[in-house]
Amino acid sequence: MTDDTLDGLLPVDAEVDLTNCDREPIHRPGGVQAHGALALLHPDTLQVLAASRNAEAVLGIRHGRAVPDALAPAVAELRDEAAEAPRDADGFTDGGALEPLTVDLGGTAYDLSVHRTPEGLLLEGEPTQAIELDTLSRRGPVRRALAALDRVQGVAGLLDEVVRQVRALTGYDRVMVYRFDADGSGEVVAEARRDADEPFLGLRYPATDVPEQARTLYVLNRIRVLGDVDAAPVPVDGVAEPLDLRYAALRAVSPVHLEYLRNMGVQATMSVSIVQDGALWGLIACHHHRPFVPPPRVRSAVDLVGQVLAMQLESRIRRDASAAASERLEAVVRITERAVGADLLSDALAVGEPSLLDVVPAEGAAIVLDERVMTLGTTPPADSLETLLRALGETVGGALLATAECTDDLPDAAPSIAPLAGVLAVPITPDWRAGVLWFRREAALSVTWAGRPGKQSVQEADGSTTLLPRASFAAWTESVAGRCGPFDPADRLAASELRRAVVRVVLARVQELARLNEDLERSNEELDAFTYIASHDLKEPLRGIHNYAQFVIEDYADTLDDAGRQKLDTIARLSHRLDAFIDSLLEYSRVGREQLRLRPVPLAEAVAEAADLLPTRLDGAELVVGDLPTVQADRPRVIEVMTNLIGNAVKYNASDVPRVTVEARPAAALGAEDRERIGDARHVITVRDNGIGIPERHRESVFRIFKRLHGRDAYGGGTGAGLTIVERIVRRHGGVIWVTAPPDGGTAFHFTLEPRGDLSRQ
Amino acid sequence: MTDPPLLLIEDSPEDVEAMRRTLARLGFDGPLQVAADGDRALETLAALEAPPLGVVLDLNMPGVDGRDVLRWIRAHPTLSGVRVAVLSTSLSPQDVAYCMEHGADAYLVKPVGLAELRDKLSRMLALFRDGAPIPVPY
Repeated sequence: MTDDTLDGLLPVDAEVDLTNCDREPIHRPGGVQAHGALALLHPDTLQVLAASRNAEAVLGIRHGRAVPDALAPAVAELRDEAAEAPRDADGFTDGGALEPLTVDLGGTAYDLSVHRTPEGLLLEGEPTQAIELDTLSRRGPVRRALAALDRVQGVAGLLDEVVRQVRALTGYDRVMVYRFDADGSGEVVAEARRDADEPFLGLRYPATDVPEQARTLYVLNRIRVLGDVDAAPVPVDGVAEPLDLRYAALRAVSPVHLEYLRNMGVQATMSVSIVQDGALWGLIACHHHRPFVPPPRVRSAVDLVGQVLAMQLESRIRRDASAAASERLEAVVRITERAVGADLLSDALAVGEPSLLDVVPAEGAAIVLDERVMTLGTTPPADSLETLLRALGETVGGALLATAECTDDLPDAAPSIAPLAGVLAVPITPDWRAGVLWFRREAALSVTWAGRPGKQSVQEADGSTTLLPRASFAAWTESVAGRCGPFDPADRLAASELRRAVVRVVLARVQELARLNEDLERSNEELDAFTYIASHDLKEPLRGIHNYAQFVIEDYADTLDDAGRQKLDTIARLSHRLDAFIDSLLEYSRVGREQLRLRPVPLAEAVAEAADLLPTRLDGAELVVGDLPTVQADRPRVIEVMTNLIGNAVKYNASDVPRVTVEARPAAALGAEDRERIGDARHVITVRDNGIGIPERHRESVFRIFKRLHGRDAYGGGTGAGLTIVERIVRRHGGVIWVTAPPDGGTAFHFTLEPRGDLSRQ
Repeated sequence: MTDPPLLLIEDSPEDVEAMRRTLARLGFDGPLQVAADGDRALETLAALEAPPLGVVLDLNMPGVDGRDVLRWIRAHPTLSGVRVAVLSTSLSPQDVAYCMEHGADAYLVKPVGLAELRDKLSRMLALFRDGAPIPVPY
C-alpha cells in the first residue's frame, strides 16, 4: 500500500522501534530509478556537478563536463523557466519540475525536466513514450475525467469515479483511494481493479506503513512513480552526501519498501497525493503487476485529477456531513415529537423508528428516565448501567462524556461494560438520574487490517539493524482490547441536540403538570366556593319545607288523621337529614377553603378538648391517652379530627366497655412501608378502638364523603362526612391517614399532621 | 303591657311566617314590622317614632344588605343604641366577626326546625328585653 519506507540504515546503537522510520532521510536515497537518468548542474554554467551512473549512456552526460550541445538549448530554456518559477522555503522550485521538453537524441526522444535545488539545477530525463494525441486535448480523456467528477453525487461517488477515471487514463492494474485517519493509519475507501485480483477495498493499514516523514514529503511532492520493483537503483556519482531528491521523479525507493511491495505482489506503483489545506487527506495509489512507468504528461494529468479531487472533496465532505447531520437532527426531531404526547417519555424515546441509534451510530443505546432503564441494541446489563451512571455522576458531573476507551476514562465501570469499549453519554438531569448513553464495541471486532501491522527488525552481522516489512497482507483482525471507533464532533453534536430536545420536552411536561395542578387547585377552590354558596341557597327552601310541614300539622290538627300527620312528620324528619348533609358539605368546603393557622398544639390537650366536645360525651367509654407530642397544627381542626375519630370509635362499638386508645409513635419505630408512606413526618398518631371494625374491602372507601357502612339509623346515624373531613384536615396539614385492623379486633386510624415533604399540600 | 315594636328585616316570606308564629308563641305581643329588604328597612327605621324593642336582621338580601343596615343603625344619632340580633344562615367566621365588630348584639344561625327556632328566638327576646347575653354564634 505504501510507497516509501526507510532506507534500512540506522545507527548501530539506535533503539529500534517502528517510530525510527519516521527519522529516516528518505528524500536522500543515494540513487535513482533505472528507467531514467539524472544530473546535478551548475545553474549558470550548466557544468555537470553530479550524475547518475547511467546518465552518459542515456543522455551523453558525464560528471565534470558541460551539458552536451544537443541538450544545452533545451536545458537552458528549462533553466530560465525554472528561474522564474516560485521557490519553496528551502530553495527548491516549488512543487518540483515544470512541464517537460522533448528532445531528440540520436533518433531517441527524451522527456527532459528541470527543477532548482539548493545544491544546483536538477535535470531528469526519461525516454519519451508515445501517448495518444488527444489525451490532453480539450475533448480528451483528462477533460472527460474531470467533467465526470462534477456529475457524481457524494464523497463515495466522487472517489469511485476518480479510481475509474485514473485507471482508464493510466492503464494501472489497480487504482485505489487511500484515506488517512487522524492517527496516521488509513483505509482503502475506493478501488478499481482487474476482476481477477483480490479486492483491497475496506482494508486498513497501520500508521507505520506510511511513516510520518513520508507523509510530510508527499505534501511537497505530490506524485511518485516506481517503475520496477526489481530494477536495481542507479547510484549517483560526484557527490559526497546523497542528493536531496525530494522533488525528483526518479528518486529511488528504499529496499525495505521494495520488499514490502514484493510481498504484496506488486511490480510497479504510482501514488498521487490528495492535499487539502496543506494536509495530506489521502493518496491515489496505483499498482501494476509488470514494470510500468506512465509518461510524465499522464502523470501530470493524474496529479491534476488529484488536485481537482481535493478541491471537490472539501465541499462534498461538507455537504455529506451536513446531509448526515440533518438526517440526525431529523431523527432527534421525530423522536422528541413522539415524546410530546406520550404517557412515558422513556417509552417514546426508546421505542420506534427512527431510534436513538439513528442519532448516534452505535452498537446499542440506553435511556434512563422515569426511574427506569430502556435499552436497544447491544448494551451492558442493567446492573452494569447503574455502576456506569454512578461513575459518570462522579467523573463528569453534568457534562457530556464521550470516550473511546472506558478503561482509561471510567476505570471503575469499564470491566462491567465489556466487551463494549466506548461510551457517549449525555445527562438529562445533572445528577445522572436521567440520561442517554450510546455504546460502541471494541474496534478490533470491526476493523480488518491488511496483514499484521508492525515490521520485524533484524540485527545484521555488521551490527546494523534492518527492519523487515510484513510478508503477508492477508486480512487480519487485531486483538487490541478496550478501544472503539472514536465518537466524532458530529456524534457529540447530535447527542447534545437530543439532550436539549429531551430536556425541552421534560420541561414542557413539568410546566404542563404545574398548569394542570394549578387548574386542579383552582377548580377545587371553585368547587369549594360553589359548595358553600349552593349549601346556603339550599338551606332557605329547606327551612321553608320543614316549617310549612309543621305549620300544616299545627293549623290543620283537627282535620288531619294520624296517617297525614305521620307523613308530614316524615317530611320534617327528612328535611332535618338534608340539613345535616348540607351542614357536612359546608364544613367540608370550609376545611378546604380556610387558611390553616399553624401553632404548636399539644395533642394531649386536643384529645381532652375533643372528648369534652363529643355530643354524647364518652358515654361510659374508656379513653386511654398515651404520650402525645406537640405538633405545628391548626388547633380547632385537630380537635375536629380527634372528635370525629374518638366519636366514631365510641359510636361504632358493641363492646361491654368501649375503649379508645390515642397514642403516638416516632417515625423510627415504624416499618419500612409506613416510613415510606409518611415521608418526612416525625410522628404517627393512632386512634384505636375495640369496636366493630371495618371490613378490609371498605378501608379505602371509608374516607369517601357520605359513605356509610351501616343503615342510616344504625349506630346513632350520621351523614358519613366525618372521616372525609378528617382526611381533608390531615391532608391540608400535609399528612396522611390510613386505617388498619388490629389483630385483636377493632379499628385503628393512623395519621400524621406533618408534611410528607415531597407532596404539595392539598 | 304591650311590647314595643320589633323590626324584622327578612326577605324570605317563609322565614317571616315561621318567626311571626314563633314570636307569638313566645308571648311577644307588640307590633311586628317587616321589611323585605335593606332599602325598605332604612325607610321603616327612619319613620319610627320611638325606639323599637330590637331589630332582627338578615344578612344576605338584595340591594342594601344586612351589613349596610347594621352600620347605618350604629351610625344613627337616635337609633344607635337599639339592640340588633343578626339572624343568618351563614356560619362563616368572617360574617360572624364582621357583625360583632360592627356592633351586633347577637349572632343567631337560622335553624331548620321550629323547636330550634323557638329556642333561639326565646334567647333573643330575653336579650332585647333584659339584655341577657347570648353566646356568639348561637
